[in-house]
Amino acid sequence: MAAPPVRRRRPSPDVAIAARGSLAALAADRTVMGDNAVLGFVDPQIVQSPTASGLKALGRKRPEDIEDRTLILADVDNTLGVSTVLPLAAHHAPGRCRLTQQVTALDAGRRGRGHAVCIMPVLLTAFANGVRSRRDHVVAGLSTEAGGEATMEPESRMGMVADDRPTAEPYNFEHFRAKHLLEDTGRIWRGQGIEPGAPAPDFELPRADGGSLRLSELRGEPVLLHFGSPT
Amino acid sequence: MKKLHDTWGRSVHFVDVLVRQAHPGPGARAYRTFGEKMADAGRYRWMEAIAWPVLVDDLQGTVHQCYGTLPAPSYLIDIEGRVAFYNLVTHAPTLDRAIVALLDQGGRGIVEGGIDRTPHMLASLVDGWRGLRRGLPDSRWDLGAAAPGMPSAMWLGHQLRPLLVPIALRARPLPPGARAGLVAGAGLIALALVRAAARATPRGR
Repeated sequence: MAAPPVRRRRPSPDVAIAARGSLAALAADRTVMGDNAVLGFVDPQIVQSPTASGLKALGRKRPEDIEDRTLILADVDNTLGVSTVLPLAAHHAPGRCRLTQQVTALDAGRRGRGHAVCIMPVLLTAFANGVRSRRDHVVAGLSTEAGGEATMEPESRMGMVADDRPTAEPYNFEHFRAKHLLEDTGRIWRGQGIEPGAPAPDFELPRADGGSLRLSELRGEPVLLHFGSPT
Repeated sequence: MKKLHDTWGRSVHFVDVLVRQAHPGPGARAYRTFGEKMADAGRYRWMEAIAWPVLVDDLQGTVHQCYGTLPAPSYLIDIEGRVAFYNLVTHAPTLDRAIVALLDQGGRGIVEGGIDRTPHMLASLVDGWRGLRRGLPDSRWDLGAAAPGMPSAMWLGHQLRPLLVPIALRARPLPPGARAGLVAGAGLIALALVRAAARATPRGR
Protein backbone atom coordinates (compact mmCIF):
# COMPACT_ATOMS: atom_id res chain seq x y z
CA MET A 1 0.00 0.00 0.00
CA ALA A 2 1.40 3.39 -0.97
CA ALA A 3 2.24 5.69 1.91
CA PRO A 4 -0.23 8.59 2.28
CA PRO A 5 1.16 12.01 1.40
CA VAL A 6 1.81 13.08 4.97
CA ARG A 7 4.06 16.03 5.74
CA ARG A 8 5.23 16.32 9.34
CA ARG A 9 7.23 18.71 11.38
CA ARG A 10 8.37 18.13 14.93
CA PRO A 11 6.25 15.18 16.01
CA SER A 12 7.75 13.51 19.07
CA PRO A 13 6.42 9.97 19.26
CA ASP A 14 7.45 8.87 22.71
CA VAL A 15 4.29 7.28 24.04
CA ALA A 16 1.94 4.54 22.94
CA ILE A 17 -1.13 5.54 21.03
CA ALA A 18 -3.67 3.83 18.84
CA ALA A 19 -3.58 3.47 15.11
CA ARG A 20 -7.22 4.26 14.51
CA GLY A 21 -7.06 7.42 16.59
CA SER A 22 -4.01 8.59 14.71
CA LEU A 23 -5.66 7.95 11.40
CA ALA A 24 -8.76 9.79 12.52
CA ALA A 25 -6.69 12.78 13.58
CA LEU A 26 -4.74 12.75 10.36
CA ALA A 27 -7.95 12.69 8.38
CA ALA A 28 -8.47 16.36 9.18
CA ASP A 29 -7.42 18.94 6.64
CA ARG A 30 -4.91 20.31 9.09
CA THR A 31 -3.61 18.69 12.24
CA VAL A 32 -1.96 20.95 14.76
CA MET A 33 0.42 19.34 17.21
CA GLY A 34 1.89 20.62 20.43
CA ASP A 35 5.49 19.97 21.50
CA ASN A 36 4.50 16.81 23.26
CA ALA A 37 1.73 15.74 20.95
CA VAL A 38 2.27 12.47 19.18
CA LEU A 39 0.78 10.55 16.31
CA GLY A 40 1.19 6.93 15.37
CA PHE A 41 1.73 4.12 15.12
CA VAL A 42 -0.22 2.36 12.45
CA ASP A 43 0.68 -1.24 12.84
CA PRO A 44 -0.82 -4.73 13.00
CA GLN A 45 -3.21 -5.06 15.91
CA ILE A 46 -4.74 -7.78 17.99
CA VAL A 47 -8.39 -7.63 19.03
CA GLN A 48 -8.67 -6.23 22.55
CA SER A 49 -4.95 -6.61 23.19
CA PRO A 50 -2.15 -4.12 22.94
CA THR A 51 0.41 -4.74 20.30
CA ALA A 52 3.90 -5.62 21.36
CA SER A 53 5.13 -2.23 20.18
CA GLY A 54 2.51 -0.52 22.33
CA LEU A 55 3.74 -2.23 25.45
CA LYS A 56 7.32 -1.43 24.53
CA ALA A 57 6.50 2.25 24.14
CA LEU A 58 4.75 2.29 27.50
CA GLY A 59 7.88 0.91 29.11
CA ARG A 60 9.81 3.93 27.89
CA LYS A 61 7.60 6.44 29.60
CA ARG A 62 5.38 5.89 32.59
CA PRO A 63 1.82 7.24 32.23
CA GLU A 64 2.27 9.48 35.28
CA ASP A 65 5.24 11.16 33.57
CA ILE A 66 3.24 12.15 30.55
CA GLU A 67 2.88 15.91 30.34
CA ASP A 68 -0.54 17.53 30.42
CA ARG A 69 -0.31 18.71 26.85
CA THR A 70 0.53 15.29 25.51
CA LEU A 71 -2.25 13.94 23.44
CA ILE A 72 -2.96 10.28 23.58
CA LEU A 73 -5.64 8.82 21.43
CA ALA A 74 -6.72 5.60 23.02
CA ASP A 75 -9.26 3.39 21.38
CA VAL A 76 -11.36 0.99 23.29
CA ASP A 77 -13.37 -1.92 22.09
CA ASN A 78 -17.04 -1.99 23.04
CA THR A 79 -16.58 -5.28 24.80
CA LEU A 80 -13.82 -4.05 27.09
CA GLY A 81 -16.11 -2.64 29.75
CA VAL A 82 -15.47 1.08 29.80
CA SER A 83 -17.35 1.35 33.07
CA THR A 84 -14.49 -0.45 34.81
CA VAL A 85 -11.97 2.00 33.49
CA LEU A 86 -13.79 5.27 34.06
CA PRO A 87 -13.55 5.57 37.85
CA LEU A 88 -9.85 4.70 37.65
CA ALA A 89 -9.32 7.33 35.01
CA ALA A 90 -11.07 9.94 37.11
CA HIS A 91 -8.93 8.97 40.08
CA HIS A 92 -5.62 9.10 38.25
CA ALA A 93 -6.17 12.32 36.37
CA PRO A 94 -8.89 14.31 38.17
CA GLY A 95 -10.00 17.38 36.34
CA ARG A 96 -7.76 16.88 33.36
CA CYS A 97 -8.60 13.41 32.17
CA ARG A 98 -11.02 13.17 29.35
CA LEU A 99 -11.50 9.97 27.47
CA THR A 100 -11.01 10.45 23.76
CA GLN A 101 -14.15 8.42 23.24
CA GLN A 102 -14.21 5.52 20.91
CA VAL A 103 -12.52 6.76 17.81
CA THR A 104 -14.60 4.64 15.56
CA ALA A 105 -14.43 6.72 12.43
CA LEU A 106 -12.68 3.92 10.60
CA ASP A 107 -15.20 1.35 11.76
CA ALA A 108 -18.26 0.32 9.84
CA GLY A 109 -20.37 2.10 12.42
CA ARG A 110 -20.59 3.35 15.97
CA ARG A 111 -21.03 -0.14 17.33
CA GLY A 112 -18.71 -1.76 14.86
CA ARG A 113 -16.29 -4.21 16.32
CA GLY A 114 -13.06 -2.99 14.84
CA HIS A 115 -9.66 -4.06 15.95
CA ALA A 116 -9.11 -1.70 18.84
CA VAL A 117 -5.99 -1.29 20.84
CA CYS A 118 -6.60 -0.50 24.45
CA ILE A 119 -3.77 -0.06 26.86
CA MET A 120 -5.31 0.66 30.18
CA PRO A 121 -2.57 2.84 31.70
CA VAL A 122 -2.59 4.90 28.55
CA LEU A 123 -6.32 5.22 28.70
CA LEU A 124 -6.00 6.54 32.23
CA THR A 125 -4.15 9.55 30.95
CA ALA A 126 -6.07 10.12 27.75
CA PHE A 127 -6.64 13.76 26.98
CA ALA A 128 -9.09 14.91 24.40
CA ASN A 129 -7.68 18.42 23.87
CA GLY A 130 -10.53 19.19 21.55
CA VAL A 131 -10.47 16.00 19.52
CA ARG A 132 -13.82 14.45 18.95
CA SER A 133 -15.15 11.93 16.57
CA ARG A 134 -18.52 11.24 15.08
CA ARG A 135 -19.60 8.56 12.70
CA ASP A 136 -19.03 10.65 9.64
CA HIS A 137 -17.25 13.71 10.87
CA VAL A 138 -13.84 14.14 12.40
CA VAL A 139 -12.55 17.22 14.10
CA ALA A 140 -8.94 17.29 15.12
CA GLY A 141 -7.35 19.93 17.29
CA LEU A 142 -4.55 18.16 19.01
CA SER A 143 -3.23 20.93 21.17
CA THR A 144 -3.97 24.50 22.05
CA GLU A 145 -0.35 25.40 21.38
CA ALA A 146 0.81 24.64 17.89
CA GLY A 147 4.31 23.30 17.61
CA GLY A 148 4.16 21.79 14.17
CA GLU A 149 1.88 20.61 11.47
CA ALA A 150 0.94 17.37 9.87
CA THR A 151 -1.17 17.44 6.78
CA MET A 152 -2.90 14.90 4.63
CA GLU A 153 -4.32 15.44 1.20
CA PRO A 154 -8.14 15.44 1.09
CA GLU A 155 -8.30 12.43 -1.25
CA SER A 156 -6.60 10.31 1.43
CA ARG A 157 -9.36 10.80 3.97
CA MET A 158 -10.84 7.35 3.52
CA GLY A 159 -14.35 8.63 3.05
CA MET A 160 -14.44 10.80 6.15
CA VAL A 161 -15.58 14.40 6.16
CA ALA A 162 -13.06 16.49 8.01
CA ASP A 163 -12.96 19.88 9.64
CA ASP A 164 -9.93 21.42 11.31
CA ARG A 165 -11.79 23.82 13.56
CA PRO A 166 -11.55 22.77 17.20
CA THR A 167 -15.08 23.08 18.57
CA ALA A 168 -16.33 22.91 22.12
CA GLU A 169 -18.52 19.94 22.97
CA PRO A 170 -22.10 21.24 22.94
CA TYR A 171 -23.86 21.32 26.27
CA ASN A 172 -26.94 19.72 24.72
CA PHE A 173 -25.24 16.60 23.39
CA GLU A 174 -27.12 14.45 20.89
CA HIS A 175 -25.70 11.15 22.13
CA PHE A 176 -24.62 10.05 25.57
CA ARG A 177 -21.04 8.85 25.21
CA ALA A 178 -18.43 7.25 27.44
CA LYS A 179 -16.81 10.65 27.86
CA HIS A 180 -20.02 12.01 29.40
CA LEU A 181 -20.04 9.12 31.84
CA LEU A 182 -16.39 9.77 32.56
CA GLU A 183 -17.06 13.46 33.12
CA ASP A 184 -19.96 12.72 35.47
CA THR A 185 -17.86 10.17 37.37
CA GLY A 186 -15.09 12.75 37.71
CA ARG A 187 -17.56 15.36 38.94
CA ILE A 188 -18.92 12.99 41.56
CA TRP A 189 -15.38 12.04 42.58
CA ARG A 190 -14.41 15.70 43.01
CA GLY A 191 -17.77 16.65 44.54
CA GLN A 192 -18.12 19.32 41.88
CA GLY A 193 -20.80 21.83 42.77
CA ILE A 194 -21.52 24.36 45.47
CA GLU A 195 -19.69 23.63 48.69
CA PRO A 196 -21.81 23.03 51.80
CA GLY A 197 -21.94 26.22 53.82
CA ALA A 198 -21.47 28.43 50.75
CA PRO A 199 -24.27 30.73 49.60
CA ALA A 200 -26.41 29.10 46.91
CA PRO A 201 -25.97 31.24 43.77
CA ASP A 202 -29.13 33.19 43.09
CA PHE A 203 -30.93 32.88 39.76
CA GLU A 204 -34.25 33.65 38.17
CA LEU A 205 -35.72 31.20 35.68
CA PRO A 206 -39.05 30.84 33.88
CA ARG A 207 -41.54 28.36 35.29
CA ALA A 208 -43.03 25.63 33.14
CA ASP A 209 -46.49 26.72 34.30
CA GLY A 210 -45.95 30.39 33.54
CA GLY A 211 -44.20 33.31 35.21
CA SER A 212 -40.77 33.06 36.73
CA LEU A 213 -39.17 32.32 40.07
CA ARG A 214 -36.12 33.78 41.77
CA LEU A 215 -34.37 31.51 44.25
CA SER A 216 -33.79 34.32 46.76
CA GLU A 217 -37.56 34.90 46.94
CA LEU A 218 -37.77 31.63 48.90
CA ARG A 219 -35.28 32.71 51.56
CA GLY A 220 -36.63 32.27 55.07
CA GLU A 221 -37.61 28.65 54.54
CA PRO A 222 -35.50 25.65 53.53
CA VAL A 223 -35.43 24.87 49.80
CA LEU A 224 -34.90 21.51 48.14
CA LEU A 225 -33.43 22.31 44.73
CA HIS A 226 -33.41 19.35 42.36
CA PHE A 227 -31.89 19.24 38.86
CA GLY A 228 -33.20 16.71 36.38
CA SER A 229 -34.43 15.87 32.91
CA PRO A 230 -37.14 13.64 31.43
CA THR A 231 -34.51 11.10 30.39
CA MET B 1 -39.36 12.83 45.45
CA LYS B 2 -43.16 12.83 45.46
CA LYS B 3 -43.25 10.92 48.72
CA LEU B 4 -40.69 13.30 50.11
CA HIS B 5 -42.84 16.22 48.98
CA ASP B 6 -45.92 14.64 50.59
CA THR B 7 -44.01 14.48 53.88
CA TRP B 8 -42.11 17.77 53.82
CA GLY B 9 -43.89 19.95 51.26
CA ARG B 10 -45.31 22.21 53.98
CA SER B 11 -41.98 22.91 55.64
CA VAL B 12 -39.64 22.95 52.66
CA HIS B 13 -39.95 24.64 49.25
CA PHE B 14 -39.44 22.08 46.49
CA VAL B 15 -38.01 23.41 43.22
CA ASP B 16 -37.09 21.42 40.11
CA VAL B 17 -34.76 22.75 37.41
CA LEU B 18 -35.02 21.18 33.97
CA VAL B 19 -31.56 20.68 32.47
CA ARG B 20 -30.30 19.03 29.25
CA GLN B 21 -31.52 15.60 28.18
CA ALA B 22 -29.37 13.08 30.00
CA HIS B 23 -30.01 10.28 27.49
CA PRO B 24 -31.39 11.82 24.31
CA GLY B 25 -32.85 9.78 21.48
CA PRO B 26 -35.61 9.91 18.88
CA GLY B 27 -38.38 10.17 21.47
CA ALA B 28 -36.59 12.81 23.54
CA ARG B 29 -34.30 14.83 21.31
CA ALA B 30 -31.55 17.08 22.61
CA TYR B 31 -32.98 20.59 22.95
CA ARG B 32 -32.19 22.89 20.04
CA THR B 33 -34.34 25.87 20.96
CA PHE B 34 -35.52 27.31 24.23
CA GLY B 35 -39.13 27.00 23.02
CA GLU B 36 -38.63 23.26 22.61
CA LYS B 37 -37.25 23.07 26.12
CA MET B 38 -40.15 25.07 27.58
CA ALA B 39 -42.67 22.83 25.84
CA ASP B 40 -40.88 19.75 27.11
CA ALA B 41 -40.86 21.16 30.64
CA GLY B 42 -44.66 21.29 30.54
CA ARG B 43 -44.81 17.67 29.37
CA TYR B 44 -42.24 16.62 31.98
CA ARG B 45 -44.27 18.25 34.75
CA TRP B 46 -47.43 16.56 33.52
CA MET B 47 -45.85 13.12 32.93
CA GLU B 48 -44.18 13.03 36.31
CA ALA B 49 -47.15 14.71 38.04
CA ILE B 50 -44.83 17.20 39.70
CA ALA B 51 -46.76 19.36 42.14
CA TRP B 52 -44.01 21.92 42.74
CA PRO B 53 -42.44 24.57 40.46
CA VAL B 54 -40.45 23.28 37.50
CA LEU B 55 -37.99 25.94 36.31
CA VAL B 56 -36.43 25.85 32.89
CA ASP B 57 -32.71 26.51 32.64
CA ASP B 58 -31.48 28.32 29.53
CA LEU B 59 -30.25 26.40 26.50
CA GLN B 60 -26.60 26.71 27.56
CA GLY B 61 -27.37 25.31 31.02
CA THR B 62 -26.03 28.38 32.83
CA VAL B 63 -27.60 27.53 36.20
CA HIS B 64 -26.92 23.81 35.80
CA GLN B 65 -23.24 24.43 35.08
CA CYS B 66 -23.00 26.87 37.96
CA TYR B 67 -24.36 24.18 40.29
CA GLY B 68 -21.94 21.45 39.16
CA THR B 69 -23.40 20.01 35.89
CA LEU B 70 -24.27 16.63 37.38
CA PRO B 71 -27.27 14.87 35.79
CA ALA B 72 -29.54 14.67 38.83
CA PRO B 73 -28.21 16.32 41.97
CA SER B 74 -30.18 17.91 44.80
CA TYR B 75 -29.25 20.76 47.10
CA LEU B 76 -30.87 21.40 50.44
CA ILE B 77 -30.61 25.14 51.04
CA ASP B 78 -31.05 26.57 54.51
CA ILE B 79 -33.24 29.52 55.50
CA GLU B 80 -30.31 31.93 55.01
CA GLY B 81 -29.74 30.80 51.44
CA ARG B 82 -26.65 28.66 52.15
CA VAL B 83 -26.11 25.08 51.06
CA ALA B 84 -26.92 22.85 54.02
CA PHE B 85 -26.56 19.55 52.19
CA TYR B 86 -25.48 18.49 48.71
CA ASN B 87 -26.77 15.16 47.40
CA LEU B 88 -24.69 14.51 44.27
CA VAL B 89 -27.06 11.76 43.13
CA THR B 90 -30.56 12.48 44.37
CA HIS B 91 -31.59 9.89 46.94
CA ALA B 92 -34.81 10.42 48.85
CA PRO B 93 -33.91 8.62 52.13
CA THR B 94 -30.66 10.57 52.36
CA LEU B 95 -32.52 13.83 51.72
CA ASP B 96 -35.15 12.84 54.27
CA ARG B 97 -32.45 12.48 56.94
CA ALA B 98 -30.93 15.81 55.91
CA ILE B 99 -34.29 17.61 56.07
CA VAL B 100 -35.01 16.18 59.52
CA ALA B 101 -31.58 17.31 60.72
CA LEU B 102 -31.97 20.78 59.19
CA LEU B 103 -35.39 21.35 60.73
CA ASP B 104 -34.07 20.06 64.07
CA GLN B 105 -31.36 22.74 64.08
CA GLY B 106 -33.74 25.58 63.26
CA GLY B 107 -33.28 25.53 59.48
CA ARG B 108 -29.71 26.83 59.60
CA GLY B 109 -26.27 25.32 59.06
CA ILE B 110 -24.69 22.28 57.46
CA VAL B 111 -26.30 18.91 58.11
CA GLU B 112 -25.28 15.24 57.69
CA GLY B 113 -21.69 16.15 56.89
CA GLY B 114 -22.81 18.51 54.12
CA ILE B 115 -22.31 16.19 51.17
CA ASP B 116 -23.31 12.72 49.99
CA ARG B 117 -21.26 11.33 47.09
CA THR B 118 -22.77 7.82 47.08
CA PRO B 119 -23.87 6.84 43.55
CA HIS B 120 -27.02 5.09 44.92
CA MET B 121 -26.91 2.60 42.08
CA LEU B 122 -29.86 0.47 43.24
CA ALA B 123 -32.26 3.40 42.95
CA SER B 124 -30.86 4.21 39.48
CA LEU B 125 -31.27 0.61 38.37
CA VAL B 126 -34.86 0.40 39.57
CA ASP B 127 -35.98 3.84 38.39
CA GLY B 128 -33.60 4.57 35.50
CA TRP B 129 -35.48 2.70 32.78
CA ARG B 130 -38.42 5.11 32.94
CA GLY B 131 -36.21 7.93 31.70
CA LEU B 132 -34.14 5.80 29.35
CA ARG B 133 -37.15 4.43 27.49
CA ARG B 134 -38.24 7.94 26.52
CA GLY B 135 -35.16 8.22 24.30
CA LEU B 136 -35.27 4.72 22.80
CA PRO B 137 -33.59 3.25 20.87
CA ASP B 138 -30.56 5.56 20.82
CA SER B 139 -30.60 6.20 24.56
CA ARG B 140 -30.22 2.49 25.18
CA TRP B 141 -27.48 1.89 22.61
CA ASP B 142 -25.52 4.94 23.71
CA LEU B 143 -25.63 4.02 27.38
CA GLY B 144 -24.80 0.40 26.52
CA ALA B 145 -21.72 1.52 24.62
CA ALA B 146 -20.62 3.81 27.46
CA ALA B 147 -21.45 1.40 30.30
CA PRO B 148 -21.92 -2.14 28.97
CA GLY B 149 -24.75 -4.02 30.66
CA MET B 150 -26.26 -0.96 32.31
CA PRO B 151 -29.39 -0.66 30.10
CA SER B 152 -30.16 -4.37 30.55
CA ALA B 153 -29.72 -4.04 34.30
CA MET B 154 -32.07 -1.04 34.27
CA TRP B 155 -34.62 -2.97 32.23
CA LEU B 156 -34.40 -5.87 34.68
CA GLY B 157 -34.70 -3.45 37.59
CA HIS B 158 -37.82 -2.03 35.98
CA GLN B 159 -39.33 -5.51 35.58
CA LEU B 160 -38.62 -6.27 39.23
CA ARG B 161 -39.90 -2.86 40.28
CA PRO B 162 -42.82 -4.12 42.38
CA LEU B 163 -40.38 -6.18 44.44
CA LEU B 164 -37.61 -3.61 44.65
CA VAL B 165 -39.52 -0.36 45.12
CA PRO B 166 -40.03 -0.85 48.86
CA ILE B 167 -36.25 -1.20 49.23
CA ALA B 168 -34.81 1.02 46.50
CA LEU B 169 -37.25 3.91 46.14
CA ARG B 170 -38.10 4.70 49.69
CA ALA B 171 -38.65 8.20 50.96
CA ARG B 172 -37.32 7.20 54.37
CA PRO B 173 -34.29 5.14 55.38
CA LEU B 174 -34.90 1.42 55.95
CA PRO B 175 -35.28 0.50 59.63
CA PRO B 176 -32.12 -1.19 60.99
CA GLY B 177 -33.95 -4.52 61.46
CA ALA B 178 -35.07 -4.57 57.83
CA ARG B 179 -31.53 -3.73 56.69
CA ALA B 180 -30.11 -6.60 58.73
CA GLY B 181 -32.78 -8.91 57.29
CA LEU B 182 -31.87 -7.91 53.75
CA VAL B 183 -28.18 -8.50 54.34
CA ALA B 184 -28.92 -11.90 55.86
CA GLY B 185 -31.25 -12.79 52.97
CA ALA B 186 -28.65 -11.77 50.38
CA GLY B 187 -26.07 -13.87 52.23
CA LEU B 188 -28.34 -16.90 52.26
CA ILE B 189 -29.07 -16.56 48.53
CA ALA B 190 -25.34 -16.25 47.80
CA LEU B 191 -24.64 -19.33 49.92
CA ALA B 192 -27.35 -21.30 48.14
CA LEU B 193 -25.94 -20.30 44.75
CA VAL B 194 -22.41 -21.33 45.77
CA ARG B 195 -23.69 -24.69 46.98
CA ALA B 196 -25.70 -25.23 43.81
CA ALA B 197 -22.65 -24.40 41.71
CA ALA B 198 -20.52 -26.79 43.75
CA ARG B 199 -23.07 -29.58 43.26
CA ALA B 200 -23.22 -28.96 39.54
CA THR B 201 -19.43 -29.09 39.17
CA PRO B 202 -18.19 -32.65 38.41
CA ARG B 203 -15.91 -34.17 41.06
CA GLY B 204 -12.16 -34.33 40.39
CA ARG B 205 -10.87 -37.15 38.22
